[in-house]
Amino acid sequence: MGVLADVVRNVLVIVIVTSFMELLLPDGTIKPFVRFAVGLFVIIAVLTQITVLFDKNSSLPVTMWDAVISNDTALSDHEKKARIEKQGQFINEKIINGAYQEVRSKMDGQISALVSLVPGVEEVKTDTLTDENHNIRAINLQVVLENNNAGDKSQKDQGKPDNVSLPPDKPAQANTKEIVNKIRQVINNFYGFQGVEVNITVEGE
Amino acid sequence: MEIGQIVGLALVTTVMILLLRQQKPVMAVLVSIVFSVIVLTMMMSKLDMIIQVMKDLNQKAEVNYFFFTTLLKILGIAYLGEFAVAICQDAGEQAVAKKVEFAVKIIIAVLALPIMVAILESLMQLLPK
Repeated sequence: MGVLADVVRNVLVIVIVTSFMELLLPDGTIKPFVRFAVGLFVIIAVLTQITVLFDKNSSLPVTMWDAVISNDTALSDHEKKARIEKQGQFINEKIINGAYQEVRSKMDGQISALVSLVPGVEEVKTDTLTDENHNIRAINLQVVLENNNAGDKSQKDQGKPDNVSLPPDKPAQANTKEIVNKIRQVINNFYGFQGVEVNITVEGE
Repeated sequence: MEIGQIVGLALVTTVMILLLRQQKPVMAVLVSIVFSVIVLTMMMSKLDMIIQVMKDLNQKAEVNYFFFTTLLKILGIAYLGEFAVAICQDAGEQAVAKKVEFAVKIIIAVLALPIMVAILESLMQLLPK
């Protein structure tokens, strides 16, 4: 209903504008020609509204004319060319950046999936950092190990009292180091990165 | 009041043309042309205002700018053509006036052609085959 109201309002404006234009028409033998052109304008304006109402993604010739480069006639040809080039570069950068963003997020997901295959790793969050040329410079990994949670759970399950102080969990630390090394090894073997910093943060350490 | 200026100028010009037509018809035509140019120049700013308002309305109605500019061009051509035709007729050159009319009609038809083609193509696409 709202769309229909918009269309009716727009058609009303078009009719008023063209009626006003007809008032401005010069008298004489040229008048019928101009009235014909005004009539065409009304038809096309109404047709555009109707096509938009039925199909927003329509590619009818009436909507094709929107591809006007610029309405600014004050600019010289050179300036127009420079402006078009700039707009083209902007669009190009937008598309390329979007694609790189997509690739980066896929890469993050791939690394996370790969690292989660390492035994002892429960959860991984990956953040890939790139430079201005979109080359990978660093990979930040936030890893949650199974052992930490499993250890806590097993302690709780066994009903050990809280006030009992256990000796430092040296084997667990060694195990963590081993897992971290394994993660580095897996990433380097799989991707063959050179000069890429892999930062691994083990949560709960 | 601009209307006062225009009416005054028109009266003076008419009297001048009436006087000049008897003795120097060429000068009468020149005075007529000068008067036309002056009136056109005086009305330019007003016309600009009208066009601006129409542009704004057009933007609100979301009508394609290309069609609107074409329509404005047609309107401008029609006005200029009428001016030229009137001047030629004043000078008694009916044949030249007819040629100008012909040229204006052709130019208007050429400008209206893309709109007509667009409408026809759109209708052809909309209608079931």
